[in-house]
Amino acid sequence: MNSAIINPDGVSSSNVALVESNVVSSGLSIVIPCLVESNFQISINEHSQPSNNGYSVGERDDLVTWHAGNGKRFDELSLKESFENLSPDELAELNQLTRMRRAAKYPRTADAILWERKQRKITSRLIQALTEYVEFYEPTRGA
Amino acid sequence: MANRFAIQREDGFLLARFGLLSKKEVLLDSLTCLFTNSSLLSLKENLVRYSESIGEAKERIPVWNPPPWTDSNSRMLPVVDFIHLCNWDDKHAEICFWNYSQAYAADLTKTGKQSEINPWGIAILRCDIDLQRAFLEALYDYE
Repeated sequence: MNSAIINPDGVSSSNVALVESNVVSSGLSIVIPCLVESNFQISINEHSQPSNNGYSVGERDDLVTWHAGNGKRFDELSLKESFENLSPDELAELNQLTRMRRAAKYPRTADAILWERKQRKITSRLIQALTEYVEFYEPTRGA
Repeated sequence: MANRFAIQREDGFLLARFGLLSKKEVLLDSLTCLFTNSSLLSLKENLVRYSESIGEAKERIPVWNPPPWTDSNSRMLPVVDFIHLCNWDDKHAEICFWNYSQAYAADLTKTGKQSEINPWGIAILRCDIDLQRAFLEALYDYE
Protein backbone atom coordinates (compact mmCIF):
# COMPACT_ATOMS: atom_id res chain seq x y z
CA MET A 1 0.00 0.00 0.00
CA ASN A 2 1.32 3.40 -0.88
CA SER A 3 0.78 5.81 1.92
CA ALA A 4 1.89 9.23 2.88
CA ILE A 5 3.95 9.25 6.00
CA ILE A 6 2.59 10.73 9.15
CA ASN A 7 5.49 11.71 11.30
CA PRO A 8 4.15 12.32 14.76
CA ASP A 9 7.61 12.52 16.33
CA GLY A 10 7.79 15.58 18.43
CA VAL A 11 4.04 16.03 18.58
CA SER A 12 2.88 16.29 22.15
CA SER A 13 -0.74 15.63 22.88
CA SER A 14 -3.08 15.45 25.78
CA ASN A 15 -4.26 11.93 26.41
CA VAL A 16 -7.67 11.02 25.13
CA ALA A 17 -9.64 8.09 26.44
CA LEU A 18 -11.39 6.26 23.63
CA VAL A 19 -14.94 5.21 24.36
CA GLU A 20 -16.45 2.43 22.30
CA SER A 21 -18.87 3.88 19.82
CA ASN A 22 -22.38 2.66 19.20
CA VAL A 23 -22.67 4.36 15.85
CA VAL A 24 -24.18 2.10 13.24
CA SER A 25 -23.51 2.83 9.60
CA SER A 26 -25.27 1.67 6.49
CA GLY A 27 -23.44 -0.87 4.40
CA LEU A 28 -21.62 0.42 1.37
CA SER A 29 -21.16 -1.31 -1.91
CA ILE A 30 -18.82 0.29 -4.41
CA VAL A 31 -18.30 -0.68 -8.02
CA ILE A 32 -14.88 0.56 -9.00
CA PRO A 33 -14.01 1.24 -12.65
CA CYS A 34 -11.34 -1.26 -13.60
CA LEU A 35 -8.59 1.10 -14.74
CA VAL A 36 -8.54 3.66 -11.99
CA GLU A 37 -5.06 4.85 -11.10
CA SER A 38 -4.57 6.40 -7.70
CA ASN A 39 -1.82 7.65 -5.44
CA PHE A 40 -3.06 5.56 -2.53
CA GLN A 41 -4.54 2.13 -2.43
CA ILE A 42 -8.09 2.00 -1.15
CA SER A 43 -8.56 -0.97 1.12
CA ILE A 44 -12.01 -2.40 0.97
CA ASN A 45 -12.86 -4.53 3.93
CA GLU A 46 -14.50 -7.87 3.53
CA HIS A 47 -17.93 -8.79 4.85
CA SER A 48 -19.59 -5.77 3.17
CA GLN A 49 -18.24 -3.30 5.66
CA PRO A 50 -17.86 0.31 4.60
CA SER A 51 -14.73 0.89 2.57
CA ASN A 52 -12.04 2.36 4.70
CA ASN A 53 -9.47 4.69 3.30
CA GLY A 54 -6.83 3.42 5.66
CA TYR A 55 -4.01 5.76 6.40
CA SER A 56 -0.99 3.87 7.58
CA VAL A 57 1.36 5.37 10.06
CA GLY A 58 4.97 5.23 8.93
CA GLU A 59 4.43 2.72 6.15
CA ARG A 60 5.35 3.30 2.55
CA ASP A 61 5.65 1.31 -0.64
CA ASP A 62 6.10 1.95 -4.33
CA LEU A 63 3.43 3.92 -6.11
CA VAL A 64 3.47 2.06 -9.37
CA THR A 65 2.87 -1.62 -9.94
CA TRP A 66 4.85 -2.85 -12.91
CA HIS A 67 4.33 -6.40 -14.05
CA ALA A 68 5.44 -8.69 -16.85
CA GLY A 69 2.36 -7.87 -18.96
CA ASN A 70 3.26 -4.19 -18.94
CA GLY A 71 6.84 -5.04 -19.93
CA LYS A 72 5.71 -7.19 -22.85
CA ARG A 73 3.35 -4.51 -24.14
CA PHE A 74 6.06 -1.85 -23.72
CA ASP A 75 8.47 -3.97 -25.81
CA GLU A 76 5.81 -4.54 -28.49
CA LEU A 77 4.98 -0.85 -28.83
CA SER A 78 8.62 0.26 -28.69
CA LEU A 79 9.50 -2.16 -31.47
CA LYS A 80 6.51 -1.09 -33.55
CA GLU A 81 7.39 2.57 -33.08
CA SER A 82 10.86 2.00 -34.52
CA PHE A 83 9.46 0.54 -37.76
CA GLU A 84 6.17 2.37 -38.34
CA ASN A 85 3.99 5.18 -37.07
CA LEU A 86 1.89 4.43 -34.02
CA SER A 87 -1.76 5.41 -33.83
CA PRO A 88 -2.60 8.21 -31.37
CA ASP A 89 -4.04 5.64 -28.93
CA GLU A 90 -0.93 3.47 -29.17
CA LEU A 91 1.32 6.49 -28.73
CA ALA A 92 -0.62 7.55 -25.61
CA GLU A 93 -0.35 3.98 -24.28
CA LEU A 94 3.40 3.90 -24.96
CA ASN A 95 3.86 7.23 -23.18
CA GLN A 96 1.89 5.98 -20.19
CA LEU A 97 3.88 2.73 -20.09
CA THR A 98 7.14 4.67 -20.38
CA ARG A 99 6.19 6.80 -17.37
CA MET A 100 5.12 3.73 -15.38
CA ARG A 101 8.30 1.85 -16.29
CA ARG A 102 10.49 4.76 -15.30
CA ALA A 103 8.66 5.22 -11.99
CA ALA A 104 8.81 1.50 -11.15
CA LYS A 105 12.28 0.58 -12.38
CA TYR A 106 14.14 3.85 -11.98
CA PRO A 107 12.26 5.73 -9.27
CA ARG A 108 13.35 9.31 -8.74
CA THR A 109 12.91 11.56 -5.77
CA ALA A 110 10.37 14.37 -5.88
CA ASP A 111 13.21 16.88 -5.94
CA ALA A 112 14.77 15.21 -8.99
CA ILE A 113 11.41 15.21 -10.80
CA LEU A 114 10.80 18.87 -9.94
CA TRP A 115 14.32 19.84 -10.99
CA GLU A 116 13.87 18.18 -14.40
CA ARG A 117 10.49 19.87 -14.80
CA LYS A 118 12.05 23.24 -14.04
CA GLN A 119 14.90 22.68 -16.51
CA ARG A 120 12.41 21.70 -19.21
CA LYS A 121 10.39 24.84 -18.55
CA ILE A 122 13.50 27.06 -18.71
CA THR A 123 14.63 25.44 -21.96
CA SER A 124 11.18 25.85 -23.45
CA ARG A 125 11.09 29.56 -22.51
CA LEU A 126 14.58 30.03 -23.93
CA ILE A 127 13.58 28.49 -27.26
CA GLN A 128 10.41 30.59 -27.32
CA ALA A 129 12.39 33.78 -26.61
CA LEU A 130 14.94 32.88 -29.27
CA THR A 131 12.33 32.24 -31.94
CA GLU A 132 10.97 35.75 -31.37
CA TYR A 133 14.33 37.35 -32.20
CA VAL A 134 16.13 34.86 -34.36
CA GLU A 135 15.17 33.39 -37.66
CA PHE A 136 16.52 29.86 -37.82
CA TYR A 137 18.17 28.79 -41.03
CA GLU A 138 16.29 25.96 -42.66
CA PRO A 139 18.32 24.34 -45.41
CA THR A 140 16.39 23.35 -48.50
CA ARG A 141 16.88 19.96 -50.02
CA GLY A 142 19.74 19.67 -52.45
CA ALA A 143 21.19 23.01 -51.40
CA MET B 1 -17.08 19.53 -9.55
CA ALA B 2 -14.54 22.06 -10.79
CA ASN B 3 -13.14 23.32 -14.10
CA ARG B 4 -10.88 26.11 -12.76
CA PHE B 5 -8.38 26.45 -9.97
CA ALA B 6 -6.14 29.08 -8.47
CA ILE B 7 -3.33 28.92 -5.96
CA GLN B 8 -2.57 31.70 -3.51
CA ARG B 9 0.70 31.44 -1.58
CA GLU B 10 0.94 33.03 1.84
CA ASP B 11 3.51 32.88 4.65
CA GLY B 12 3.45 29.35 6.01
CA PHE B 13 0.37 28.21 4.13
CA LEU B 14 -1.27 28.03 0.74
CA LEU B 15 -4.87 28.58 -0.32
CA ALA B 16 -6.22 26.31 -3.02
CA ARG B 17 -9.30 27.65 -4.78
CA PHE B 18 -11.47 25.56 -7.08
CA GLY B 19 -14.36 26.87 -9.13
CA LEU B 20 -17.02 25.55 -11.44
CA LEU B 21 -17.71 28.09 -14.16
CA SER B 22 -20.49 27.95 -16.73
CA LYS B 23 -19.91 28.67 -20.43
CA LYS B 24 -20.82 32.30 -19.70
CA GLU B 25 -18.18 32.42 -16.97
CA VAL B 26 -20.75 32.43 -14.18
CA LEU B 27 -19.40 30.91 -10.98
CA LEU B 28 -21.72 28.04 -10.15
CA ASP B 29 -19.84 26.56 -7.21
CA SER B 30 -16.51 26.87 -5.45
CA LEU B 31 -14.30 25.29 -2.84
CA THR B 32 -11.45 26.82 -0.90
CA CYS B 33 -9.10 24.89 1.33
CA LEU B 34 -5.82 25.52 3.08
CA PHE B 35 -2.56 23.59 3.11
CA THR B 36 0.13 24.26 5.68
CA ASN B 37 3.70 24.24 4.37
CA SER B 38 4.50 21.30 6.64
CA SER B 39 1.66 19.21 5.17
CA LEU B 40 2.80 20.04 1.65
CA LEU B 41 6.30 18.94 2.56
CA SER B 42 5.13 15.62 4.01
CA LEU B 43 3.00 14.94 0.91
CA LYS B 44 5.65 16.02 -1.57
CA GLU B 45 7.13 12.63 -2.47
CA ASN B 46 3.74 11.01 -2.93
CA LEU B 47 2.10 13.81 -4.91
CA VAL B 48 5.05 14.58 -7.18
CA ARG B 49 5.54 10.91 -8.01
CA TYR B 50 1.84 10.53 -8.77
CA SER B 51 2.02 13.73 -10.83
CA GLU B 52 4.88 12.27 -12.85
CA SER B 53 3.01 9.01 -13.37
CA ILE B 54 0.02 10.81 -14.95
CA GLY B 55 2.10 13.23 -17.02
CA GLU B 56 1.66 16.92 -17.71
CA ALA B 57 -1.56 18.65 -18.72
CA LYS B 58 -2.28 18.31 -22.42
CA GLU B 59 -4.65 21.26 -22.56
CA ARG B 60 -4.06 24.41 -20.59
CA ILE B 61 -6.59 25.24 -17.89
CA PRO B 62 -7.71 28.89 -18.33
CA VAL B 63 -6.36 31.27 -15.72
CA TRP B 64 -8.98 32.03 -13.08
CA ASN B 65 -8.98 35.01 -10.77
CA PRO B 66 -11.37 34.00 -8.01
CA PRO B 67 -13.11 36.58 -5.85
CA PRO B 68 -10.91 37.32 -2.82
CA TRP B 69 -11.51 35.10 0.17
CA THR B 70 -12.25 37.11 3.28
CA ASP B 71 -13.51 36.36 6.73
CA SER B 72 -16.88 37.72 5.62
CA ASN B 73 -17.35 34.50 3.68
CA SER B 74 -18.34 33.28 7.17
CA ARG B 75 -17.14 29.78 6.49
CA MET B 76 -14.19 28.15 8.17
CA LEU B 77 -11.30 27.29 5.92
CA PRO B 78 -10.72 23.56 6.06
CA VAL B 79 -7.10 22.54 6.61
CA VAL B 80 -6.01 19.67 4.39
CA ASP B 81 -3.61 17.04 5.71
CA PHE B 82 -3.59 14.75 2.74
CA ILE B 83 -4.97 14.36 -0.72
CA HIS B 84 -6.22 11.15 -2.25
CA LEU B 85 -6.12 11.27 -6.03
CA CYS B 86 -7.25 9.04 -8.83
CA ASN B 87 -7.97 9.16 -12.54
CA TRP B 88 -9.55 6.90 -15.10
CA ASP B 89 -9.92 6.58 -18.88
CA ASP B 90 -7.23 9.28 -19.26
CA LYS B 91 -10.09 11.81 -19.00
CA HIS B 92 -11.66 11.95 -15.58
CA ALA B 93 -10.15 12.55 -12.19
CA GLU B 94 -11.03 12.90 -8.56
CA ILE B 95 -9.32 14.85 -5.81
CA CYS B 96 -10.32 13.99 -2.25
CA PHE B 97 -9.29 16.24 0.62
CA TRP B 98 -8.89 14.80 4.09
CA ASN B 99 -7.57 15.79 7.45
CA TYR B 100 -6.81 14.10 10.74
CA SER B 101 -5.78 15.04 14.24
CA GLN B 102 -2.02 15.09 14.79
CA ALA B 103 -2.72 14.50 18.49
CA TYR B 104 -4.72 11.37 17.71
CA ALA B 105 -2.02 10.12 15.34
CA ALA B 106 0.65 10.74 17.98
CA ASP B 107 -1.33 8.83 20.62
CA LEU B 108 -1.86 5.87 18.29
CA THR B 109 1.83 5.71 17.48
CA LYS B 110 2.83 5.85 21.12
CA THR B 111 0.47 3.08 22.17
CA GLY B 112 1.38 1.00 19.12
CA LYS B 113 -2.03 -0.62 19.17
CA GLN B 114 -3.24 0.58 15.81
CA SER B 115 -1.34 1.33 12.64
CA GLU B 116 -4.13 3.11 10.76
CA ILE B 117 -6.33 6.05 11.45
CA ASN B 118 -9.55 7.07 9.80
CA PRO B 119 -9.27 10.63 8.57
CA TRP B 120 -12.11 13.10 8.20
CA GLY B 121 -13.31 13.85 4.72
CA ILE B 122 -13.35 17.51 3.73
CA ALA B 123 -14.48 17.35 0.13
CA ILE B 124 -14.53 15.21 -2.99
CA LEU B 125 -13.86 17.07 -6.18
CA ARG B 126 -14.53 15.67 -9.64
CA CYS B 127 -12.70 17.24 -12.55
CA ASP B 128 -11.03 16.71 -15.88
CA ILE B 129 -7.68 14.92 -15.63
CA ASP B 130 -5.92 17.99 -17.06
CA LEU B 131 -7.13 20.09 -14.12
CA GLN B 132 -5.71 17.50 -11.73
CA ARG B 133 -2.41 17.48 -13.65
CA ALA B 134 -2.18 21.29 -13.69
CA PHE B 135 -3.11 21.57 -10.00
CA LEU B 136 -0.39 19.12 -8.95
CA GLU B 137 2.20 20.91 -11.09
CA ALA B 138 1.21 24.27 -9.59
CA LEU B 139 1.27 22.96 -6.03
CA TYR B 140 5.04 22.45 -6.09
CA ASP B 141 5.96 25.15 -8.56
CA TYR B 142 7.98 27.46 -6.33
CA GLU B 143 9.26 29.87 -8.99
